[in-house]
Amino acid sequence: MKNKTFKKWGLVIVFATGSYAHLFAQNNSVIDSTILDRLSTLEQKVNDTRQGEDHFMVVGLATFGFVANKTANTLNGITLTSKTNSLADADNYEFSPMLLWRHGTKFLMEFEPSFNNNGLSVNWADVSYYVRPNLIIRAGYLVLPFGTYSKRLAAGWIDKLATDPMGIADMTPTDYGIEVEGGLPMGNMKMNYDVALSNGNQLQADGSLSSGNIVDNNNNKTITARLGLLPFSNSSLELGVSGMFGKVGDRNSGFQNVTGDLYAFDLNYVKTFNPVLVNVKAQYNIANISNATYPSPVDSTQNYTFKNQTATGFAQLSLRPTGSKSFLKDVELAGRYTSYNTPSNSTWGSDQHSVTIGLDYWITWRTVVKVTYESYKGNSTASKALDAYTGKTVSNSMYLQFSIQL
Amino acid sequence: MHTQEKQFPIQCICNFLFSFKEMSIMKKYKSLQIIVAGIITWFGIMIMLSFNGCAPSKAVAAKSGAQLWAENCQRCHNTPSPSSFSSEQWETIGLHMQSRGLLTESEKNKIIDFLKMSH
Repeated sequence: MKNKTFKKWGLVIVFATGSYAHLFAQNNSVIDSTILDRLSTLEQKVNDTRQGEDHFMVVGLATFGFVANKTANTLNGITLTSKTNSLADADNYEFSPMLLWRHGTKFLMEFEPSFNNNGLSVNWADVSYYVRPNLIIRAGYLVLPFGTYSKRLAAGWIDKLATDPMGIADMTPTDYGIEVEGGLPMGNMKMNYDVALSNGNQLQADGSLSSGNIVDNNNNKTITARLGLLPFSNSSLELGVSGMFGKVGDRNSGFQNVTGDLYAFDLNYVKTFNPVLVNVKAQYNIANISNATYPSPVDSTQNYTFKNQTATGFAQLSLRPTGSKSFLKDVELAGRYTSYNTPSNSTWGSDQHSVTIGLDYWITWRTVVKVTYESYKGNSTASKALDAYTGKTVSNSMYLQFSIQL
Repeated sequence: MHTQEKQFPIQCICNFLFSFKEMSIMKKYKSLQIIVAGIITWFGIMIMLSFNGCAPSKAVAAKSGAQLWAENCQRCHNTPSPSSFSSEQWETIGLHMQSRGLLTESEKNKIIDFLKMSH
């Protein structure tokens, strides 16, 4: 009896254990499959977001504002005054998305179309190859390395003032070509170099230059080079010298030997003297075009000549409190003096000066609201014989500008 | 010599001024030549150093990414917030800024590592 009872209970225990074990195993497999499913989903999500070798992104900037202007022009003793205002801040409006496409760690494509006061245009479109730690090769439609303003400081969200300094950007062409550049550590100092070979400027009928031409007007290529030196280990000061040399006249024309020699000198100093961040920027450009005889615009049987030398320069100082915890730390005061002289006795000669002051409020590190006042005086030095003299101009402008980088 | 002795004072002044003008033109021409020669020489040195390598001092080499971020970005614009972009985006922007600001490779790498860690 005892044996029978023992066997009976044994069977019950074995059956029960088997049943529970089965149930337990079933629960485990449900949990396992849930976890596996979730892991699989997560893996899929990670794979979906993994960038691989390439990475594409869009940044860019938008600048919008308002300008009120009063201009008085005096010619032959008669003064004409005009008042204008534009909601878009017509001279400085810009919407420029920038497309950056990185392939691995060695290639970068940059493309910046721009909708601005010139309509729809392209600021630059190029591809860079990072060959060595201190050597980058670039090809395409480039901002030439002539000074630093156009390449580094002109963007609305970087510039402390609403306007560009006169003539500086005009003398820094964007052109089709190839470029070699790099930064070099030199003990406590740093140096950088930037050299470009491009189609070059083209001489116009009035002796001025145009740039950005996809077809070269002569067989001569223009070389543009900038060398920068940062003498202090904290990189606070940078001094640069640039040169641009090449023929500018059309091949097989009377201007084929006309050359353009341009020089630029730039300075950048940024340092905190507690409780103020001091920011000094300056650039001076000179353009020498060799002598040529141009057809008179008033009498096609006559020619005229002039000393074709243009000089422009600016010096800018801005101050921003750093120690303050109040809104003052987001405020920056800026002032700039600009001088711009184009060749006298040409059809576009002038002697121009402007003083610009501004107060900026930085909403974020890349978002700014600027209030800028600019006073301008220009005396025409253009030829009266060529009927190009435009008299004296005095202008005052007030800008309210918003700029953001995204 | 004989003709020189017979020159009137006004002629001497004219000759002097003419020679001075010639000198200034020559000087200007020479100064341009010196600038061009200097640029070419400097460029040659840069290329040579680029291939042969050049080194920062120990103090500069020891700088952290945070310090380099504070020193270099503000040369052109305000120092960026690390949270502005993702790690992948900072990698791409790093290449762009290395070219725009002509940063050294080491500076770029340290700054980007700092931004990626801090965002």
